[in-house]
Amino acid sequence: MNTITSTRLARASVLVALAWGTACTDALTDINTNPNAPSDVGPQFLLPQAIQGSVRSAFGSGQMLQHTGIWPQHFVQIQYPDEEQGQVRASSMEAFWGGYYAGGLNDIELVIVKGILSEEPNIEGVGRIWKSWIFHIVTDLWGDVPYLQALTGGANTAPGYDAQSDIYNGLFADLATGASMVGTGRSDFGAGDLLYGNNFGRWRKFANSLRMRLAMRLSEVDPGRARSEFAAAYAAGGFTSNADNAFLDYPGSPYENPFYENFLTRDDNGVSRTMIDVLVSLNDPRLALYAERTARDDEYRGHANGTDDLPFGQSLSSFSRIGNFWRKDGAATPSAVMTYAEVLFLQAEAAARGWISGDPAELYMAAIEANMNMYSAYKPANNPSGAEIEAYLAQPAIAYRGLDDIHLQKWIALWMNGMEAWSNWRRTDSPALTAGPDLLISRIPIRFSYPDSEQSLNNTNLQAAVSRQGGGLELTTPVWWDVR
Amino acid sequence: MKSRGITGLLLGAALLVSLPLGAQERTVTGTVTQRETLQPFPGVEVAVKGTRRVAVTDAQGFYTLRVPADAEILVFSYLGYRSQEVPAEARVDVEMFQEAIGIEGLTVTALGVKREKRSLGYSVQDVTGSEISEVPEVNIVNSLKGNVAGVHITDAGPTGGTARIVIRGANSIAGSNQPLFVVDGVPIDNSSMRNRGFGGIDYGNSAGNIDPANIEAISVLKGPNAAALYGSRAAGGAVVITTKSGTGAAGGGLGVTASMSLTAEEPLRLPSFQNEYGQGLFGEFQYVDGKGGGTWDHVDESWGPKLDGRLIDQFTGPEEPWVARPDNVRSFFRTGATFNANVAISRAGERSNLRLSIADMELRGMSPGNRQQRITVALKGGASLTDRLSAEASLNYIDQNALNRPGTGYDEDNPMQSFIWFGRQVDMDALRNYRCRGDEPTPCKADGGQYNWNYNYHNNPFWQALVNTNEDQRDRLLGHLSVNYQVNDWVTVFARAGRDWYRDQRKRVTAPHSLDDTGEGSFGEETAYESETNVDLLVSAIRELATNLTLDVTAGANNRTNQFQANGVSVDKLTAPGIYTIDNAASTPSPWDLFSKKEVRSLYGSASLNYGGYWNVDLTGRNDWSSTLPVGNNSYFYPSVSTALVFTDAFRLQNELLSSGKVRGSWTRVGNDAAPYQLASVFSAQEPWSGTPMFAVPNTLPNTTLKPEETTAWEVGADLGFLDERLGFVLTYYQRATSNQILGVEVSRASGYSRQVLNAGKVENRGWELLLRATPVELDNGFTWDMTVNWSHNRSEVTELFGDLETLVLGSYWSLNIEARLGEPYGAFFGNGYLRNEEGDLLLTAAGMPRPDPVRRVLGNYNPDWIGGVQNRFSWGPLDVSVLVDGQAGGDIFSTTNWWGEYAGVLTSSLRGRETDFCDPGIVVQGILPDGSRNGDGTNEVNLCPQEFFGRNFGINEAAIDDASYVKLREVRIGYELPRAWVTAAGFTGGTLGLIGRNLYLWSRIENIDPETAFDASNVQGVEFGQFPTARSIGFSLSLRP
Repeated sequence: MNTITSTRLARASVLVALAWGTACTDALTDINTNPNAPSDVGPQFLLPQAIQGSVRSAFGSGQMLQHTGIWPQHFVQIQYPDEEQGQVRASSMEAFWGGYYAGGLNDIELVIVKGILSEEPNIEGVGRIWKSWIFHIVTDLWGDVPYLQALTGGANTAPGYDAQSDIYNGLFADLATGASMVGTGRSDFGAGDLLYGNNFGRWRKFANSLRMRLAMRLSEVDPGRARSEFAAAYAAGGFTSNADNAFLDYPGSPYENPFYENFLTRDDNGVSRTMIDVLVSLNDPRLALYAERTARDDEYRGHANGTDDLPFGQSLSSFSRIGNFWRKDGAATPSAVMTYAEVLFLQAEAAARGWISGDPAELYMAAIEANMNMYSAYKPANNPSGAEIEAYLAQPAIAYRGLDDIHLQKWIALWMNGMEAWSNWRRTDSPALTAGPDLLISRIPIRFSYPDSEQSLNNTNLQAAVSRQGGGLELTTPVWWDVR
Repeated sequence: MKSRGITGLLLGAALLVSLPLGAQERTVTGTVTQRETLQPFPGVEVAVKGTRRVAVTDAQGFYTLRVPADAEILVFSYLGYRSQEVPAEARVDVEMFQEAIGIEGLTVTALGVKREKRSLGYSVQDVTGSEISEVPEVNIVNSLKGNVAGVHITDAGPTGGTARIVIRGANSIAGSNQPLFVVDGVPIDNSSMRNRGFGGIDYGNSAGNIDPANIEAISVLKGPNAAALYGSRAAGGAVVITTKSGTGAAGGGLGVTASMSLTAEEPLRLPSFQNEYGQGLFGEFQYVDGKGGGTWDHVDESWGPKLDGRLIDQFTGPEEPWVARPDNVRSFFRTGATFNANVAISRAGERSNLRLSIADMELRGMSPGNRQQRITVALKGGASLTDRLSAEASLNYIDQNALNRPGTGYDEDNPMQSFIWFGRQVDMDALRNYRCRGDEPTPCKADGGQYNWNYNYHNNPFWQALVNTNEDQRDRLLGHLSVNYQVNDWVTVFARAGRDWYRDQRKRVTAPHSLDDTGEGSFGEETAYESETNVDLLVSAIRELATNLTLDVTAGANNRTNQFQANGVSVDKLTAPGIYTIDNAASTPSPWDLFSKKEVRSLYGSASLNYGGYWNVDLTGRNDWSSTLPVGNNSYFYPSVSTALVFTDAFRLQNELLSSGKVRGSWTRVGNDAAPYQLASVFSAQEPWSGTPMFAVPNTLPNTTLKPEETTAWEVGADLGFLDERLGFVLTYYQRATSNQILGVEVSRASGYSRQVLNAGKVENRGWELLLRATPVELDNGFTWDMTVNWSHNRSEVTELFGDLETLVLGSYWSLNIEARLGEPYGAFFGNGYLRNEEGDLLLTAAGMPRPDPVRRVLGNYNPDWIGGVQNRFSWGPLDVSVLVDGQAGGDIFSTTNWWGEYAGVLTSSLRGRETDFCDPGIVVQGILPDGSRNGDGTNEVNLCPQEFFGRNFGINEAAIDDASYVKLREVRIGYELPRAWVTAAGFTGGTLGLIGRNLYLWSRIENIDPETAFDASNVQGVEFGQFPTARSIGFSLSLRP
């Protein structure tokens, strides 16, 4: 290198060095402003996440195929039957608890706050209704949970627990308020209302229908309150046709029906023997929709719940698998959050209890029919035909005789809503379900256990709640409304 | 221009204190030679002791230095060589010789400042460039294995993958515990991209990009004491790399250095597989469609029929002999090959030097289809522009690309996964034709579909390796520019700007007909840019305050900017099969991008007081202002103090036994800032719902009052030389504690959040390091035997967390947590153990199975009790043999290769209980049955089928935890100095031919795997699954010197 070049190089280096050293004169703190994501977003972007996140949790394979769908004996674990035997995984409890609170609930809470601050009743109303939907799942799973002190972030990182009765009071109030608010404002959620596309009339019907479900939940523990809440909700008006159904439609990858996603990766559940046997005995046309014939011998054969690992020589192919409408062909099959058929069953029961006027038998028949038709628009391969429905309803075995018929048909109709089927069974103990022979606890689980994180992070409040409920850490301790 | 003002001010200030040169001066000249080669030694620094007056020898080894009339001592120094102090007579000729260890010589310390080792009050250990390049590693971090006391290195992946390095144990609970890497004074990035336990590709750690043949020396600064001047990132120590400069040819002309090596690689260890039973369950198997249509043909386990040659329908055809394929896994791998070449030309003139090198590394991996290439162009030059002004610049361009790196961890991309879940009768050769031709059994399709032994869980391993491709490419530029201005005899001003910049491009493809493919293939691609820019300005002065008392002070400023930017897209369904472009997407592409930036501004200073040449006291201080901390907390100061006393000089204690002795001690406190963007939260974007954007409230509560982390450390040590330096020890004891750690601490989810960013937690490390060097034999005929031993022991303990918190989970695999647990060493294993009674007997079920203890407990931890290495070197005439053995004692590993391999019945150990037949004689587990009787005592013999026993052992983590102790024959080299006549004919003056080998033999407690393994470079260590086999590498090397 000659001297002239190196001198130039040196001069250049000094200049470059000094330019680099002093160019950054902006304040240090400005650099730390995160440019990757917004520090605030509108409710139209929060609601869809609050809806889909919590629906995919409550209707997801983790919750339904391993817990809330197998305990009411809709589905069965053929391989790895831990939960069948009453052994829940700590990691699952953790994931569900965290998924609701630090997921959909926190998102929807902010929707409500934004609705209040901007004085937009449509926003606040939908927020209150959806928050109630998520919270009724949470409290029906765990009983007493943080409610009034929850969701305040750094203001209270160890919130206290509320009695389930108080939570139900809050839910009734929020649903009534929400129903009265929706449709009275001007703003909407744009493309963010995944359930009803800003049809606030349907949101109102959904709020009232949900209120009927929750009112009925108290039929045994507080019949008076149950009756008055139900009557008020009924008067305010619930679903009136399958068009009102709260269905979450999946738009395609990466948002597909969770059962279909499970089918793609791990597919080792089947249809419970209890469900198959009931459908077979009643000549139910839903059998071909709900279940597939066995791969091994082309039969409908359910596997018994609550049994140990498969005996020698039996495999997945020995048992009926869940219908292809949710598995192989299920990418776009909706999650049925709440249906017209359920509302008719609720009304049939309320009529039978004398809470509302109406003919329970008529409502019961209408409920079955509505249920059999609810997927028609999606054209499942084995959907019951009109003739099949007519023939089915004409059978003497289907005729209405009393509440147990409602419970049995509702149990069948709540297929793919294991959470509600399980809760309804816990409330009524009908239909009678037999615990499996290899259950390692004293009975079929009737609650979730609290997550370990609450023991390590919020133990004082947790212990108060546990002692109030009489030992709620076990899966066999009933929640407040489960008195039968 | 603002900058000009500052320049003027600084230079002016420097000039104000300048003294006129030229008064009462004389000239010293001489020649420096290299003792080993007897050649002139260019590039040696000659300095007047106690001043900044320096000359450098030219290509003939000649120097001229103007010295003050009263100058007494000249110091000759060169990195890796023993420094020489000689009276400053008119002519001084000096012979220099290599010495990496020992207290006499130069080493590179923080900020690239060269210091005499005898003056250092903290631990620095050097590795010379020749030690690294003689047996080149693809990743230079691996070259440090066994060579440096206190340094723990684990490999995460296949050759070219990540090596994790931790010095003196992990101190940060959530942050990186790896040291800072510095090249020629400029910090570089050492992140590892995208590798994780559950699947993924290991693209290697960035420091591994440096070509070994360009390295002059590496100084390992062990811990914050040595690295305090590097500021925030010093807590984990620093690895300071100096690259080669131009020294030219001995005759003064152009010097050409060439080196190359070629090695062949094969698996060092594969699991020991059984060859008695084939695929299936319950002793049955029949193939129909490989996905459940036949008898257990969807199963990927080996509990099937005995491999006795009976005729069974198989994936290769009906009624074929059912026989063992003992080599089916080994034959999947091919012989790997690694080629390394480096050609450097250099020239050194009187006032300038220049070195240009081109290096090529070509790797043919052991996994089929895996190739890597790395081309490095390095240019480095220095010039004395005037008597006072000198400048140096370097530029490295690295082009690295790779194709079909094997996947790692528990993932379908990992070929080892499909050999752990495998049928032992599978004919690997039949799978080489991975495409269907049409005459195979179902469900092979004639239209180019996939031909496989199983269609339920696996891709054909060759399909996975060759058809589901991945490729990555990196362009990297790193370099620096520095100017040194000697204001007068004792003041110099130094400015340096350095930058490390790279761009990565990566693409992964899943072909049509792959398992789980739903739409004519899918792909993902991404581009990432990473850069770090550092600008330093230093003013230093050296003054003799009184006789024998010298003060050396430095003041400086640094500005550091780190920026990361990445974007990518993934497409999960395509229209035309196998066309991997966004235009061909059949589903909505999912794009993403990410940006992060931080800046740290610093002022620092140091003062070094030397008395009599044997006692040093050093003080340093640094103040950082970080962009990632809130105003009010973003300025933090950290001091260090150290002292070193060469007591043999101070008290004239040299005798025949003790030839040198130094004691040292130091104390420091360093701070550390946060990652960017922790002070405020942003909403996290979700995948759009059919085009509708969605956002979620983030799960972490930000903290607007974060403080810097704080690490306090002290160490004491002694460096002793005996028998005229034929025996030497370096012994160090250290303690280090990091508190106020910036952590995402869990909060009750009912708050709506899962974590809150806090300052909490404390981890303490303490330990011993020993370095021993000896020349046990040194004969008159030239035979010498040199030995170096490195040994270190580190103990860590988590002493504080937050509130009542007992543990922080660092990572969790199969219910085994790797934790920072209160009172335990960092990295404790916490999980399901066996249920035992107080006597330690297993408590069994009525069926005779061990049971998991319902109370989870600590089952081990991944930290070794000690690590060490022994290097022996024998040289005799032209022959030079070196052998490095290293290893670790203690530490645990959670090997799920062993767990799942027994579950799936593929390992030899799973033959237990089926020695005679499928369920004969069965397994009787020793233990206590529920009725209190003892199983296996002769009367109670509750027997389990092995399939049942191994299947249900899963769930008990303890069954998969084993001792990770091992010893490795790490490196052997036989070098032969080529006859002069041969090499001079080719225009060189010297050359060496070497026979080299790495990872030649492994002894370990644990079977089937190499315990020196990891999923990734994170803090979650000690977990193994489907480890890609370590390469045993054998080959030769050739190097030619100018």
